[in-house]
Amino acid sequence: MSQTEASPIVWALAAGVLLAAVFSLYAHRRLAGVVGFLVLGALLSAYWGIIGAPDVALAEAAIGTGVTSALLIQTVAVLRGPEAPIPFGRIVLGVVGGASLGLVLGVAMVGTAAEGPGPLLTEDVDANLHATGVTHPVTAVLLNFRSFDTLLEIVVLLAAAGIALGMTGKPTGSGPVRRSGILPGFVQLVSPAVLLLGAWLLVAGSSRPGGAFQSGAVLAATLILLHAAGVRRLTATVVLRVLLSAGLAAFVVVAVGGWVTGEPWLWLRGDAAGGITLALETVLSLSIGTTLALLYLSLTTTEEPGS
Amino acid sequence: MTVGEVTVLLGALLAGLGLVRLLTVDGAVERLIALNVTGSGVLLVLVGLSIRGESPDPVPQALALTGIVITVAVTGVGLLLARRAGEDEQ
Repeated sequence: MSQTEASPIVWALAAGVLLAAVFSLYAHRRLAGVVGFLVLGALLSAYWGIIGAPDVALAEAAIGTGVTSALLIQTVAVLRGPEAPIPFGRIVLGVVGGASLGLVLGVAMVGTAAEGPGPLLTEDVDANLHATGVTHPVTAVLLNFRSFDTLLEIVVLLAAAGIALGMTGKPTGSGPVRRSGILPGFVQLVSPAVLLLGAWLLVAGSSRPGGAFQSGAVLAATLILLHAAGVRRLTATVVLRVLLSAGLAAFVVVAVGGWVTGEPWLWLRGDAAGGITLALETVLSLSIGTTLALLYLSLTTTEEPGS
Repeated sequence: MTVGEVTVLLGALLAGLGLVRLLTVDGAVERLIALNVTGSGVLLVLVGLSIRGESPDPVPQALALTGIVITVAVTGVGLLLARRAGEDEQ
């Protein structure tokens, strides 16, 4: 296992994550649970950062916490189910039971890992990094060495988008309702800067933490903010549908491109590899952003299916 | 304790807590939150086992990233279905 001793900050963050998790799981009210989940996500993102996984930290913050919490809050605000607080005894039972299960598994895993470290792929990745055209290992793994996994991930996102499109009804309210107060003005002011940040994350992914998924999530966040503040309504237009499927289409083109040059499919090497990767990431980022925003949009509409 | 060991332990605890909650609660929102917590725990274990020395192994990190995106897709569709199911009952 690792040579580095865990510093007090690592311990403090770990304790914070654990407390936030227990709170978000066993909160008395659903909304409190969702807000606890948001706090859990922020602490978890910091934890990912401090153990040396900045790409995961960015993705956890933007996608795992940001977009997920937006979806959860949109649902919780409308759900009318009963909200009986859980008896304290059951909470204790659940926490103790879960913690025991976790502790047993954790200690077993740590013990097994200490006996003999397994193989690491860091050297293999570093050795072949130069051929991929990008200099950041995680991006190279995502879009080159393990691009098959990413391809299937895009298919999953497209499937989710398809389901969301099929269940999106008419938008609630009669038309664009611009909310009063500071929110719309702030959103309008901040959106271009946030979009610029997303574009930067996209390009930065080739050489440092960033990439298509993080930048896609930033795009989704902008679209969700614009819709929620009433500045610009999202609708399931043809442009949206094209953007949703463009990611998969571009990925298939790149995959088949490998065949065309006489190599296995998904093969991406050579001088143009870096440029192709960036172009693919751009299209993927648009698809991911619109998919996540569509998931949010479909939660704001009513039952009857629209066009 | 090393950083990797803390991460694996934290991940296992999160996964255990989330799993017990997932199996014992009724509401869709509570279940999805528990599912997210469990998933985060599992990903922490995945990356934690590979933390050794200076540069963390990039392959588990990429897998964790993929896992996070898949989880949000599942959460989104699950919440959508929960909304529709709830509306049908009214």
